[in-house]
Amino acid sequence: MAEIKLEAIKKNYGRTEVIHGIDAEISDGEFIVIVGPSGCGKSTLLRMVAGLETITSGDIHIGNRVVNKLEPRERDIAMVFQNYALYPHMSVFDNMAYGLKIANVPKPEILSRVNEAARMLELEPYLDRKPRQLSGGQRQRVAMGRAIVRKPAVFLFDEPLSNLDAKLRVQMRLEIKALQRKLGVTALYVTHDQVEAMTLADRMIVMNAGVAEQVGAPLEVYANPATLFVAGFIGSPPMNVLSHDIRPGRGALDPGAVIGVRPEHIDLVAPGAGLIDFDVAFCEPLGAETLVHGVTAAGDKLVVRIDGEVKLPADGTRVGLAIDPARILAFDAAGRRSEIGDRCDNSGSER
Amino acid sequence: MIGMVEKRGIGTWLTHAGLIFGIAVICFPIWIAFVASTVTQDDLIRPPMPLLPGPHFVENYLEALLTGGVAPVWQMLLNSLVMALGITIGKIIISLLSAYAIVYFKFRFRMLFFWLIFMTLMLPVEVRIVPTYEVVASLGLLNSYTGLILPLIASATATFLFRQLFMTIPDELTEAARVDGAGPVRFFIDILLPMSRTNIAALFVILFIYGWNQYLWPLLVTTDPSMNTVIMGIKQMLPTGDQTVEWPVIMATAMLAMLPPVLVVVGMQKLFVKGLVESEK
Repeated sequence: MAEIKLEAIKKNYGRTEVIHGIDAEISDGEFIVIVGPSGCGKSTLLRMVAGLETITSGDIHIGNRVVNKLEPRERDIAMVFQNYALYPHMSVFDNMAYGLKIANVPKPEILSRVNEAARMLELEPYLDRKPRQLSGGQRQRVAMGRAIVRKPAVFLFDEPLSNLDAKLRVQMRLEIKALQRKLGVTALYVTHDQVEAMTLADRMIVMNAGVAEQVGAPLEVYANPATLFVAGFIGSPPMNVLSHDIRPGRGALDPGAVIGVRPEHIDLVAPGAGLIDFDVAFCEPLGAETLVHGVTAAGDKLVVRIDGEVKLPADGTRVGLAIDPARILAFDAAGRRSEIGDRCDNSGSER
Repeated sequence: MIGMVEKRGIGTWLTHAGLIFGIAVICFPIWIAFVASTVTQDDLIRPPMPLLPGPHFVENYLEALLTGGVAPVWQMLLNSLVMALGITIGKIIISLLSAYAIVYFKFRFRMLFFWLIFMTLMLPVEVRIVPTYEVVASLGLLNSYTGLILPLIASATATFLFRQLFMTIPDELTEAARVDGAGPVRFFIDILLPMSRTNIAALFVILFIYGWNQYLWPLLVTTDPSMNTVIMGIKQMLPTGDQTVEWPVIMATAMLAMLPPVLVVVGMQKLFVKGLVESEK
């Protein structure tokens, strides 16, 4: 178990810089999720922590050591790969025991550690099987088991659930969380799935184009996105972005600046009774909730999330939108939050 | 596959008749050779040629094995076996190692080395036979197993095959092994070798037959009859000039020379097919 500290981490491939200086401090036992769209450098960052990629500049500390030059095996980490990377010719037992065998752990201890992990992951009946005789979820568990038996200081997960079907993904997500809680091992988890990020993370690092846009607790990031990118990436459907200020008593926005409001912070009211009028284009009833798509009188596209039991407005009708002005976030032309002083609950923003 | 081709009655019979006829055509010369190895020289040269085995099987084979032509056949078989196994095992080890180096290690001129190896495909033994002979002779390797095996041991084909195989092994597996703490040697022995075993089995079959059937090279480097291989031995048993010759013994030798490759194919085929089935997902 250990803290991780990233200091100004940069990565170049040839002359192209793909990671532009990332700083983060992760405390012992914390579950950190690195989330971002494909190609944002999140996997590269994880692989640099693992020691599978070299670090162009900056320092990575694990525990109280700088591990920049250390081989993966010397870093006291264990990694779970997207495709599980199980050794196809070895049994489940051997897959889990391989790292321990190399580390010259005595046989009886290997046996007890692997059996313990197998019991924890309910893999006991499968110890003699080969990976190809297992289902996707079971393979995923073996990959986890291989990480657990080594009792590492840090778990690294590289999109471990993306090869599973939706139902299994939810189940494994809960198992990973429970396991990490139980073992208390610091975990670094990479995903492009914001739901995974929201549900698993103690804190998350939202990455975009090689930069950490925001670091913070999931709900904090959701409520208080530091940038327009974060506002759009976290949350489904994403935050509405309007280029016309609809708040009462405000002039026009600066060129390029926008305001954002979450779909669930808007209520439908009678025409003229809200901040602005809205023409309903179509509705998407999802059961528990309904998404109402349409265009504001000022010409911005907008989505409203309403309770599933409210009667649906007919397509083409005009309704009013009631929005608490305090829920509206403003972003400047560079996509950063502006007017932060307008809100009292903005203090947590880390950017 | 079941139900893909469904023929009944006359069609099945015709297909089988065609196949049996084809097999008979191919097997007939071997049958004749076998028959010839079980009769006496007199029976053989008196027309009509016998088509059924005679009673002299043990006698002819014993004579071939123990007396043979210039050297007893058991000794030539042994020489062939050593040479074929040496070439096969040597080639597999060398090409595994060189493919490992080319795929997994970054060093200067890596691609140059790969292409150099690849280019030797264009130079079979026959093309480089004179300089190779010169080198082997000046190293004093004539009439030795080393001289028989060494010049044939490098294999661009096998290197290429293993290179392609290694390139299909996912990077994540290599990385998992690195995280598990496996160094280059352990990774090679614990992961790559077991994963290559079907290819090794297939190559073993092909290379063993290649090594066993070598004719020109052993003919050049072995002048001592005790170092002759069985393939060249058969040739040397053939009559030159007005020598009389024991055809049944030659045929027995030919049958014996055919046996080891057949055994290797039959024996390895099981492992090879089993391996193929096992690696299926």
